[in-house]
Amino acid sequence: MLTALALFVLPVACARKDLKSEMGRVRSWTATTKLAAELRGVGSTNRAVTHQLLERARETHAQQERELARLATTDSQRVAARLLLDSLQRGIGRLQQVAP
Amino acid sequence: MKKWGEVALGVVTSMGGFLEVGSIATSIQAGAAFGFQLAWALALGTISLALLMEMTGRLAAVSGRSYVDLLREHMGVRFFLIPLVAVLVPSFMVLVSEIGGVAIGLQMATGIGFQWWAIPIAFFGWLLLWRGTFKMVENGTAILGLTSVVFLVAALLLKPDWSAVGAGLIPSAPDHDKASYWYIAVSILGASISPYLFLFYSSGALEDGWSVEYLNVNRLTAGLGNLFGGGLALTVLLCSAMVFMPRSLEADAYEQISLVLASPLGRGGFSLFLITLCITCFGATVEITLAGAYLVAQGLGWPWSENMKPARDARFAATYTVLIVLAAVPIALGADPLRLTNISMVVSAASLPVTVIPLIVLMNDRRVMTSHSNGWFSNIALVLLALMSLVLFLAAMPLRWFGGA
Repeated sequence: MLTALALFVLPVACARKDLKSEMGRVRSWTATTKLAAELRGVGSTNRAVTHQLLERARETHAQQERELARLATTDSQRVAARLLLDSLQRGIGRLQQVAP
Repeated sequence: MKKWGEVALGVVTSMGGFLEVGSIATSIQAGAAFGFQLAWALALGTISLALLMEMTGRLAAVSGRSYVDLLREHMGVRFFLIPLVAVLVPSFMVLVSEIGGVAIGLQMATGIGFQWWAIPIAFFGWLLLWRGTFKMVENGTAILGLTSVVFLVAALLLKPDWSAVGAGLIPSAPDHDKASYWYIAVSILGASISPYLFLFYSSGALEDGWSVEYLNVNRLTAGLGNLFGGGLALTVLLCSAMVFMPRSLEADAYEQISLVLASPLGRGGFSLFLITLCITCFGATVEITLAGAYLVAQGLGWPWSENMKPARDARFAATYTVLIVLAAVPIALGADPLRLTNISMVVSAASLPVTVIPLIVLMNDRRVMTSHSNGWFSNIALVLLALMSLVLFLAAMPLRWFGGA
């Protein structure tokens, strides 16, 4: 019974992470910051959500910097990861401008 | 005439009450990652739910007893402990997610952290249960939940390619992220066919005093209500596929999800999204709490009815009080609402066999169903549903490992 429970609970506790999906996550947050900045710029969202998205994007950047450093094993992977992280950083900068 | 009014009200409440945190989150994630390709999972979930609701509603109307009550009587108290735990645990997890959905909606509206909202939400939910009647719970929040029609408006404005939407209704293999695809499919099915939904419906039939004369009302309410409700969930998927997918925006936070209507509808769409999220999740919070109390009270043979004064069914009232208070705790402690939602939908899907399989026995027992037992069509559908529930049970957790974010 306990074994069955453990088999059931363990996968929930630790979902698998790979480079491709983690890079996809960075790409997704870059797109989020871009869309959020556009929408905030024309008044389609409120201040609270813009601030929360900014906070989340910063957290994601910090978290993914560590994850990608861990998962990228070749030079080309490291370069691709850096480019993506820089792109997210620029997105964060744009969002910051519209979230005073 | 009165019955047709009840059908209309039933359809409206099913439609308004269809969307909740699970269906919104999973439809958005499906649309963002796979466009229209997972529309079939929504259609399958909706048809399955309609069938289960029709059967449990018919069972209640014909026998005058709830599904849970009959389950305990037919299978014995010891066997009953399995569905009790298997339904109560995922329902509790979904309940936590719903409170999280309201809390995050309020956070996005006010800027005040979602943790602070958990206890007030639980209090207002409890107050509605304590002071209200079944009709108030069933109709009130669901009618307010009709704000979710805003997704239909947005989907029409976004002008999706309807032939591609139609193609999405036919299951097809994905060309990328296979594990993620099947994981989201299971989550959609878990959100659509949560056991609490048909257990609540069956108990509701008794609260409303249904008898065999209501079999057509039952059929129409379960069929049309879910058809329109499932249609609304499809429009959520369409909006996400049109707004998020072209931008490669995955939805792994509610703050991202809130942008889905702001893009096509501006500030009004954004505000309506927040209102819809809060109302639909609050409605589901109250319904799941009540469904949990029905499950425990009916299973243990206690007096139960939302229409009774709490003093007359004290153990039933105490059960919903404990459930809603406990469910507020993880959110008050800062558990991530979207992560919880995803996990609870998968666990919910995995719990289906213990509620679906015994239904085959009950729906064919002529002592219970008299001349209204299942015909060949219903039996084939139910056996297929039972097989699907077994597949979901076996696949849910491995998919969480390989496909979960």
